[in-house]
Amino acid sequence: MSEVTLRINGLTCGACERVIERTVQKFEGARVTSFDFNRGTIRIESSNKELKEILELLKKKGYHAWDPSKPEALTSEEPLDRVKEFISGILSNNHSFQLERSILTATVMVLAASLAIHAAASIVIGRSLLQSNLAWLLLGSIGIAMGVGSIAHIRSFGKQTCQTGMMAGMGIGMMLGFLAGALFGATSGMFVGSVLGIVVGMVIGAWAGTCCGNMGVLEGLMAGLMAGTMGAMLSVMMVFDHQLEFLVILWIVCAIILGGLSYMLFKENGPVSSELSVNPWPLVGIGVVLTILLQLIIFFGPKTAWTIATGGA
Amino acid sequence: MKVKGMHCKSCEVLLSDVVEELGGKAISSDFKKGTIVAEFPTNPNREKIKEAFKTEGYSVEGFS
Repeated sequence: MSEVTLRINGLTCGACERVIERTVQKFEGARVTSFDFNRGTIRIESSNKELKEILELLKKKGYHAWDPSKPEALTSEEPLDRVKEFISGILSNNHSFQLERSILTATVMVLAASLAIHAAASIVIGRSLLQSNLAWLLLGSIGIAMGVGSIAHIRSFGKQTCQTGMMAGMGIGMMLGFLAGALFGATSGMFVGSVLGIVVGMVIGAWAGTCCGNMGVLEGLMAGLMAGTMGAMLSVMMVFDHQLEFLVILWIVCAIILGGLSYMLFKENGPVSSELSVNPWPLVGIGVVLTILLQLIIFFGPKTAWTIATGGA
Repeated sequence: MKVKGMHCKSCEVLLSDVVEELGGKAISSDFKKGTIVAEFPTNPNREKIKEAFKTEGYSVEGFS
């Protein structure tokens, strides 16, 4: 007999607790010694031989449990090597990273579709309007692709534990708030940038946070408010001082953080990644709609105070 | 049968499990409507079912 701590997916309510307890108790002498809803862990006492069968049966009931000290996909001891393993796993054809690979593919497809919309727009409304806003449109497309990919990743796992869900709400709310605030701050001025930054950051942040409930939603709202206004502020303050260069840096940093968020989701949800994948086409559709909205706002949306005074971005 | 207290998918799984332990087979369940359709080889002891559901925190409101 030995006792192990396992991470488990889908542990959300009292009924889950009972299902898991009853499943484990079907094995002679095995029992659940404790549940931790916040961490999403359980402790099981059983013989080693039985443990494997218990995990199989739990999986059939919809609960995927695994030993976090023996990750299936990330085997390195060094944290940095694990990150490298994660990246090379996605790029190679490793089955354990199926979901992440499908997300990456979808992200690239969204980016391609978004750029194609810009090309189409240049035919419809003429090249000059597009050329004068080219940098903002490109940054916007990259932002849209990153956002769609990150949210698709969070949504594919369903319920998350508190810590993970709060991180997701905060990460998404803050990054997308920053991107939207900074971009529209540059194209349309402080007021429009702040308002759009707040709206994008708060709405999407709260939505990403629903994967764990109240706390995640609140984190998303707060982060969206902060980053939406901050993004616009930075853009406007740097208008005469390497504004575009700064936005490029901001985009790179946001991409790194969103990548880190995906890495965290992968680590927290472990083996399920090999059983999931996303259909890229609905995401491409969303990307197209967002790109058109982006163009409408940049080309025809309201411009406030400084942009008019300085003759536009 | 009509069951009170089901609020999620796990409740369905849990009660299907209970039905199986009583020798029956759950055909379908719907937590939104609060219904479970179960099949038993012989006429089941309704009191026993009620009792087993009650230990898990659910109450059977009626059989049909």
